Amino acid sequence: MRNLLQSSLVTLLLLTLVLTGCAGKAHPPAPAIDPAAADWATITAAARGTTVKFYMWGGSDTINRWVDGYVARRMSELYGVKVQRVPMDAPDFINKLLTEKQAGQTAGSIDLIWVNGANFKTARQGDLLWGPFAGRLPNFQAYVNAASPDVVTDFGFPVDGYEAPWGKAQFVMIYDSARVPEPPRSFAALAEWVRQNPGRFTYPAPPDFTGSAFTRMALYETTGGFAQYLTTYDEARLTQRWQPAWDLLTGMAPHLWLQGETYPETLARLHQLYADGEVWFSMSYDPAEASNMILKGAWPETTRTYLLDAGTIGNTHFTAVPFNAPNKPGAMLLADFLLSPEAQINKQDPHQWGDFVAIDPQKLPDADRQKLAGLARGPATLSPAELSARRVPELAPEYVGKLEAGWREQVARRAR
Amino acid sequence: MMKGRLVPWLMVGPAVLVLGALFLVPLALVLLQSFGYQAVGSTGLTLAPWKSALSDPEFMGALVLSFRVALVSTLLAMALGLGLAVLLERNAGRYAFLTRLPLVVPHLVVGYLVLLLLGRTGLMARLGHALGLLAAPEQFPVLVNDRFGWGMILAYLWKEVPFVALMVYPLLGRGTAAWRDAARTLGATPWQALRHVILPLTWPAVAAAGAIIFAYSFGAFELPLLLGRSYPRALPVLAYQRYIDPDLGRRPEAMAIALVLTLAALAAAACYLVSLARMERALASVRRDEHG
Repeated sequence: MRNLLQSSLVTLLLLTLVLTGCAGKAHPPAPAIDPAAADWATITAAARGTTVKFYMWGGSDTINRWVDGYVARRMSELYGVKVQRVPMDAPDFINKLLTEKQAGQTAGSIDLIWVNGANFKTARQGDLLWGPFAGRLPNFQAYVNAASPDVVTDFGFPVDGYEAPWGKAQFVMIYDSARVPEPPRSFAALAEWVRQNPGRFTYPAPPDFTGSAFTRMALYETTGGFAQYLTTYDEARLTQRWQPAWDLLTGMAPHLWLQGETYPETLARLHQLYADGEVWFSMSYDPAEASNMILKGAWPETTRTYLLDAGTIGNTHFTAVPFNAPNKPGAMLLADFLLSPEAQINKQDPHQWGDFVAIDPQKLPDADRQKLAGLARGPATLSPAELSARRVPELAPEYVGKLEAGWREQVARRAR
Repeated sequence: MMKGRLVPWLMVGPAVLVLGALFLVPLALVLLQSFGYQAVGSTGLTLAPWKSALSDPEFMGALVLSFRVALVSTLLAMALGLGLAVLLERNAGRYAFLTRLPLVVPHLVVGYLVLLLLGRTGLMARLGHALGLLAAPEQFPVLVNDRFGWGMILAYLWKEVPFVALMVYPLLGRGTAAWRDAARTLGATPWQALRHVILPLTWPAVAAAGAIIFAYSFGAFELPLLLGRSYPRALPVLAYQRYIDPDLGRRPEAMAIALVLTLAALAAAACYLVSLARMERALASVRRDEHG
């Protein structure tokens, strides 16, 4: 009899657990406004006292500190909104949203995401985003050049107001000037350099974001520039022309770190190899990262960045609101604050983050424009003018994916 | 009468509920999704994801790699674990607690330890260089991110040898010792005693531990990600990459690969159940001798 009682109790307990688990956590009552139609004052009022859950890539201490410190403090001071950063890679939270969509979960847990490129396209195709909202943000209306190509499209995919720009990044090569007096400024020169300095160079294995960009630039240089690929996706166009890029990368492989038999899986691993002096180059999609590493004492003072003569890839990164965001007013308020001149200028300060502004400096009041121009750059960061003079566009996400698969087949597999 | 029939159902209720809600239903969903159910751009159930996943040239390489690492780790762990248990029994288990330490360290941490210790610029390489054994730290043999998978195997051994020892040790009680002593008295060499007395008596436990280790190491993700190579990646890593591919149409392929992993785990589980049944019989016979 006692056994019967016990097992009934256990069954009941488990049932409760399973049922409550399926029902999801209790959510704070949704603000009783329609965030898709309300005016800005209503949205600001509705957001007061709420918490915004901001899901973003968490791999950079510098960026995390900026969000947890400056952004959280100012959002609380200005609007009484609490910002809670949740570190997660973009593919992971996109998958989370997709699963929630499939399960028909209308009250989600993510308010704002940091996203761009292929992940944005995936999110749009899966109908995972709420909007359009960008055009309704006051700071977007006042300071963003809404006609600029890098705001209108994201990796060639139309933004349509489902993302608000947040910053701009550009790929830079990183080297130790004490060990490499004159860095190679083209892939041809790089191939020659690795032959003379075996084991001192490598790049992260695609689909790592940065390693993938590196192979795209190899494609640009060896096949006659980027312009030919700025089309809607045409698989044959890519696969019929990409052979020279694979020849160059496989030719380099035996002279790379570990004879090119394997590659660092992540950019963080490559940075570690660089910090240990095992390799003499690194790379980053964040032009200010090298300076930040020097300021932190993680990298040698002699670290510098440079661009390839044919240019390096740049892109814009954005914020977006999931379809089931529980706190849409708070999310819009945060996206708007991130676009404010105050936050944008603070973000470009190398002691804060060093990420370039997404707003148009020409639209700023004089005082702010001077403040922006007067910002110090870190010891290894190139000037905005140098960067923009050698900035080339990203490709459509399908090209990116195909190229990543191609690298695996043509380079990683052959080097085995 | 009514109550009598209800009791067994209530008794197995919790187990069935947990198994059903947390295992069987998700497994069925994975199976359906591997045929394109609910996939983005899917028009119905199709064999295409399976074809695409299994015809990928990396799949074969990944299967071979995962199988090789799991098999070598399992066999070595079984042999070394049995040896460790015998050593512990000789020393009356005085240092047994030391061998339990690795059991509580997570695999991820072990992976980092191996990376820091045995990497090309790791502690061992630097030590070898400082002691003049190596002309340069880079001469240290490539033990992590290597072709064969030794980095992963070493990490698994560090974790699993104590696990095998833990499973085998209880079987090396007085009963087994008495049988071994009897064999020795009758003129058996230590090797013969091990081969003909200890091994048969402990084999079920060794095999059961081996089945668990195989299922785990074949399906584990963290060590291959840390200590593996860019190509081919281990099966679990391959499945994960398919799952997070920006092209959502590849998700069903991830499910297909996950099912291949599940099949291997089920095969290992079958071995485990058979060994477990034998182990219970062996334990019973040892206990009988201890009391008899």
